[in-house]
Amino acid sequence: MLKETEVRTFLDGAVHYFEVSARQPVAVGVPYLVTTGAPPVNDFTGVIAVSGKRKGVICFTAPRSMLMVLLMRMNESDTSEENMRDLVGEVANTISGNARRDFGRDFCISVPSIVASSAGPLSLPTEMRPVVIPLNWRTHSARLIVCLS
Amino acid sequence: MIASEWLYVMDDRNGNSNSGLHRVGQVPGAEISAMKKLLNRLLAFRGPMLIGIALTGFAFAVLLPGFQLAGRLDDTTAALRLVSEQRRQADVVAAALGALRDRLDSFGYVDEPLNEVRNSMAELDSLERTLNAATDLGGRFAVSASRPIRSSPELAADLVTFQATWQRLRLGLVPVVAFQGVPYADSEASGVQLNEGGRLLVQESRKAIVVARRDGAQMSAALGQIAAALEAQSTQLSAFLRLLMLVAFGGTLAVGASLTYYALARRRQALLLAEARLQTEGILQTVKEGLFLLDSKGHIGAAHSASMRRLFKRDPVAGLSLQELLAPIVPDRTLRTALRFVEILWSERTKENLVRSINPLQEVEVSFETGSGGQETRWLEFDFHRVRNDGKLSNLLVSVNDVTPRVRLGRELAELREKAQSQVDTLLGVLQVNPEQLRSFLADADTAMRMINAMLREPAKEEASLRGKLEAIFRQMHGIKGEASALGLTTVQSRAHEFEDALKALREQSSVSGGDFLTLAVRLDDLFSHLESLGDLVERFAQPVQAAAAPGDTGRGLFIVGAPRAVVDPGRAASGLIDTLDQLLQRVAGDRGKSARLVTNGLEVVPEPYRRAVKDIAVQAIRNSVVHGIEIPELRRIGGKAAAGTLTVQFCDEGAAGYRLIIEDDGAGLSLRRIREAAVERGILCAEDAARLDSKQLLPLLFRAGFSTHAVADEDAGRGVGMSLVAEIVKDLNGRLGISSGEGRYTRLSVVLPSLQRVQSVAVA
Repeated sequence: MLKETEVRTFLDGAVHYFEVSARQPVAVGVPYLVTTGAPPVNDFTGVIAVSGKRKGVICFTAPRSMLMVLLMRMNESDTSEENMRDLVGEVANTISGNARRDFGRDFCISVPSIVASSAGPLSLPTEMRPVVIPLNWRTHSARLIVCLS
Repeated sequence: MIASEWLYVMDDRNGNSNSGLHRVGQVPGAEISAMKKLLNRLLAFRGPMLIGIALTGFAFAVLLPGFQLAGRLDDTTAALRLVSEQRRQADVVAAALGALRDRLDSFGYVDEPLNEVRNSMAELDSLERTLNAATDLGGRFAVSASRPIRSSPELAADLVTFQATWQRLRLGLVPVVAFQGVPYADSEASGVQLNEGGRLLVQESRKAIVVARRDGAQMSAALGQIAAALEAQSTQLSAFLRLLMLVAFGGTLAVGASLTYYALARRRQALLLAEARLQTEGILQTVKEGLFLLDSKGHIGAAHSASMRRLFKRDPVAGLSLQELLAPIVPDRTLRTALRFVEILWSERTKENLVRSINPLQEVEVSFETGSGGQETRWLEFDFHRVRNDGKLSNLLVSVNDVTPRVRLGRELAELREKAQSQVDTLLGVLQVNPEQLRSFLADADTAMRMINAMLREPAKEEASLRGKLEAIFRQMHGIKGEASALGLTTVQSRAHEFEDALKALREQSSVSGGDFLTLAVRLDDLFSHLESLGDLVERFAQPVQAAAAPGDTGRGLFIVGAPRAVVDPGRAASGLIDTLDQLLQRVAGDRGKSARLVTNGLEVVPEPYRRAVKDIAVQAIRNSVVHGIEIPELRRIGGKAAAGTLTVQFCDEGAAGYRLIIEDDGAGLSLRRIREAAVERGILCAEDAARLDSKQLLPLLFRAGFSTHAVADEDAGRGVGMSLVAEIVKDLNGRLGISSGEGRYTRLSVVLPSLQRVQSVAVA
């Protein structure tokens, strides 16, 4: 079952990243649930596994176009796929760091792993109903997916 | 028990090494303590000390006298030997004088007897000097030889006698031994003759013979008496020395036995100690608890259980402070609490049991890095005991238990209990529900929630579209809540109500953004989960009952939820709807201390496409009628009405004109005054306009979203959603809506729904 304070902590982590690293705030869209099937993912997805008091997965997924603009915004001329993956991992790291700060040792959060959309749909625990939070930045849209039991 | 044994052994094992455990800031007491420790240390060696003292006493009491006795015996024996040897000198002198006389008579050689006399005199002189204890002679005998003689009066008298007789004899012998030369003269004339000196020698020797005969015998007798006394004394000393040796032997045996006993005792004690150490080691190696001692500076002692390494995942732990041990695995706040608690334990003023009863470390959550980026969470239980040494608090014994399984089990049990309680509550609610109604509700609620989720998912960035979402979601949720209320599903109703509260809060915000909807998504997830569990629960109970139930049996408490929707006949559906409406009416009326009865007519002819709409309209209208219309029994009696109000739901097919649904109550009717007041309070109208409007202009306000004459919102009314939802439904169905009222008599809601033929033709066109 989702808890608003927990989801908001993860969301704050993502929002904070855009505010600090991209120096431009992100607009949070209306969150919704994924009631059937796999949640929609973009080109690259940073996945954090959560264990301990709660179990589940937190994902940050973003399209290639958004990541490229983000890299450029951060004065990074190398917009290779490798750098995009690193960037997604960095956002995921910021999210997990924020969660560690707020939840302390209640949450055991893994090191992020990066998954490309070419690897197929994201496989999340079927017994959970993920909440998808659109993150609109400029003309692009990324998503934060929180799937916790 | 284990802890106390361990403590005992630890104390014994550490011995005086605990001297470093005294608290800082107690310097005056330290000296006294040091003296006590010195005394204790001496007491610890009292065995060897006693043996040493005994040996010294034995030496003084037995060996020294024995040594003296031996010396005296030696002296006595030497004196006896000397006296015995010199006793013959008197006879030697007498014989030599006799030989001298004979030689002189026969003109023989006289030097030989003379020399014998001289030698005897020298011997006797020496004897006299020795017996006189002349200190000028060297040697042990000379020092002590006289003692046996002088120490005895008889011997002293005999010595005097000896000296006197010898001196007299000596005077007689001196002229004889003074002769030098040859006592003879040889001449032709007379041949060999005694010369002058020879004649004198003859005279003196004859005198000496007389003296020797007289005094020599006395002297010999005196020496004989001395010898006899010395012999007796020697015999006495020997007997005494034997006795002393016997005592010494006994003493030696006793000391030897004592030493043997002491050695055996020490050996036994050492064995016991070694065994105790072995047992302690065994306990510390085996015990699952973490056991360690904290000194006054907060450091962990060298001896601790092996489990410490497992519990704290570090090695070594000895010498670490409690802070160093806990800091990596507990939050700062817990660490501060722990240190503060230990500080209190060190205070002698606080009672141990009292302090332990408030132990904040009975269930401490600790986390360890697993090395692969993850963390392992466990729960540890700490217990503290004061350890006293000589009555003074010296250490804290800390025991640590891994209570992770217990905590996890407790939490799981609590969750299960909560879940079970929730299921029981749900089940109790479900048991009251007609299975057909429940099936219908679950399906409708699922559809409504999916619609809500679809509304959330619909992209919207502008404020207006976001607020539009809120209104649409509100109506859907209100429908769910209304039906749940009608069915008495309080757990669903309360969740829907909370959802509405959140919606209301958002509506009242000056501006809304997408992120604000997170609370709705989370609550929607909760409602989904709850309805799923409700479905699972019903499904679980339905199967066996379904198998046992007779076909067509629609009695309450029979969960035929799996039945396909298409086979529900109109009569059965009407019955379910009537039950739903009646339950709702009774519950809402009961909650408000009112009484009401339901009268229905024609609900069995409600066509399937309008069944949901009729139900939703009726639900909202009935709640409204009971809350706003029907009076409490006392007021009704005063107004000349029956105590129980009547609520009529009538549905009729009017052919081409469509269908008419009338919901009427015989309550207080609509209060235009209250409607005006509410319109002004909610800022919809100003007071002047409100006063000017007539009933035709005022009544439509009742269908306006957010308008309610109820001051405080509760689960059945007050949000201004119910009638708004009715209007919305009617509008969606292209129907018409009317409301009329007679103050103090009735309120009638009239809905006209288009005929289905017309609807189909419109759809085709």
